[in-house]
Amino acid sequence: MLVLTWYLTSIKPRFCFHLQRLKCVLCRKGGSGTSSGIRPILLDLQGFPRDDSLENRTPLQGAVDLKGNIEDFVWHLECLSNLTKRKNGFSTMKSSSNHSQSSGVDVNSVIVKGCTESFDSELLKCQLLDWFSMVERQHELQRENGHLPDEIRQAEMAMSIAGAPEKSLKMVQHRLEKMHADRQLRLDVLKELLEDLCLREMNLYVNISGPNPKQSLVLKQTSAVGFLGVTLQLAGEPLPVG
Amino acid sequence: MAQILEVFKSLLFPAVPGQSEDQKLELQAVPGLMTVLDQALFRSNEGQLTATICSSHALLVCWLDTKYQSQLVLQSLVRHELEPSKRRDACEAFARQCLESSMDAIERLSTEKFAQSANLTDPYDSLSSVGGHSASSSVLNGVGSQSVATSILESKEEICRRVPMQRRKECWESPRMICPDHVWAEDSYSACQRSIRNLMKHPFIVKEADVLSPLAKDNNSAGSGSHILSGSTERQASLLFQLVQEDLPMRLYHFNQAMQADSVVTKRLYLVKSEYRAPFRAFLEAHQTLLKAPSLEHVEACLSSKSRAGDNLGKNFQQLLKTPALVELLALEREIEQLEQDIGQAIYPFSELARTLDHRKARVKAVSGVIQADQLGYLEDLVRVRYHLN
Repeated sequence: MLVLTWYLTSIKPRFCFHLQRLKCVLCRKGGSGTSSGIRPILLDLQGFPRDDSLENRTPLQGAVDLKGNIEDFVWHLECLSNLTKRKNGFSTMKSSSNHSQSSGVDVNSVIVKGCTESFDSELLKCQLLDWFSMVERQHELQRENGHLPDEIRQAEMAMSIAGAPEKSLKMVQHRLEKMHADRQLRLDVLKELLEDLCLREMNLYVNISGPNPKQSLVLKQTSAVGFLGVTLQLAGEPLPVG
Repeated sequence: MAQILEVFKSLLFPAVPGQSEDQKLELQAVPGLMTVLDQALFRSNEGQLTATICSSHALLVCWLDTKYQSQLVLQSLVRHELEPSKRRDACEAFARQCLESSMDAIERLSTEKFAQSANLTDPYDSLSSVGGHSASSSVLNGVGSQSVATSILESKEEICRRVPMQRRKECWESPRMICPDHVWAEDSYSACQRSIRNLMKHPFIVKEADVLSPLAKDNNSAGSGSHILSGSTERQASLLFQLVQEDLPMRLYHFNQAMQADSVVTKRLYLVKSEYRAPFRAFLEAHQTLLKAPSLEHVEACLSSKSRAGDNLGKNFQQLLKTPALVELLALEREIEQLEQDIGQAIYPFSELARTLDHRKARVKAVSGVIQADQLGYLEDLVRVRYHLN
């Protein structure tokens, strides 16, 4: 049985954790755990426990020390870089009943160059920190200006309507009137059916009204957890949105 | 006199909305209405569903126990099993499969299948998710050094979580299981049956049945059947074995019996739920279409007025596009994109290195002065490399 042995100058428990994560990024999709980008690494640095099997002991679980996580990650990349520089930094060991024999593993020269000459740990650290700070600023701006996309859309529509010829406007008006009538018809059908059904099946008298035509459809938060919800909550399981 | 009595009656027993025609329950046709109706339907029929409710609770608790026990086995393997062995790997693979199956079963039992077809407008529905389980055993190939940038742009919509978080906007119905029905029960039963059958066929169960069964009955004794795994791991594995071989099939059997006993009620509930969902979704579709369309008042105003103030509207639109927040957001997006590409380029050689080492079936081995024996278990688990069992 071939066994590959690493000779490392120093070991930290997270070393192999990062290595395992590294093999699943920037690859052509081979399974459910792979990604064609670097998003899994970025999530790991934020402490999101992707691994449900070991969530109680994932090294980054609950870690909010982003800078520490980034330094830890870059440190392990430096370890790998140092190993790649050394001759026989990676070797195989063939074990038999009496003795073991080791032989060096040749790593592709392009990989070696990428891990050594082209690798700048300080630059990578700064890039990661900048990325997170920019994303945080983006989220802040989105929270403050959530109304902006809708306003732009309305302004664009208003501008196109203002520039349209009268004949087109009349067609648009006709279509809009039909859409309003269709909506009202569906609401009437819904109202009639629900009021009858609620009385028949649930012994409830209900009055259904429609929302404001300009009201956006957002699922409201309710206290209903489902008939299995209490059991899930007691077990600490997340509930679906509702 | 009668009026006075009515007044006293209304004071002592105030009318609850919905109980009389004079005081109807006011509901709005918005997302969340289905939750209210499902809850009311469930409450009305709860008494006839006792068997299904009890048995589904018991089954869910059993799967939760299986999930928890699988995690304990995996933790025990990492802490106490430092020497690699085939039995250790088989035990680990079994525990992972149990964990995977239990998470799937819990998701199926607690999710309303109806809601899956209602929330199609959620953009995250159709996107791939990147879970936390290990990648398939097949060899992973890199995207190529020239394609790092495009791959990163393509991966922008990845979820990277096992279960993607549903957004409230454009979510018409809650996926929570409020009122059980026949389709849910059948689907859950068949999925659980399939999972249990696959687990029972696992090589670890087949080979270790004789070893683990006596230990399952006597948890106080130290592991004596197999001397490769430690006593603690043997105990945890035997508990997991008992759950999979005895408890789960029994709970599933009870669930099946309850499902068949209540099938008349659950089938009717399914029909009722379908009956009120169809017009509700039809209405929301019409409402959604109207939301995306221009305002009728604005069109009529444009038709009636001679001058349409097109220049002013154009200026207003341009001003909105030049909003400082929007400009900053777009600039940030460009810079973030560039940073991601640069980070990807820097990380790519290391990911190729990791794939090369994995392809060679790397195994961390204790070397004096380099890797200590007590770090092996943890490292092995984190690396989670595989070698072919001979």
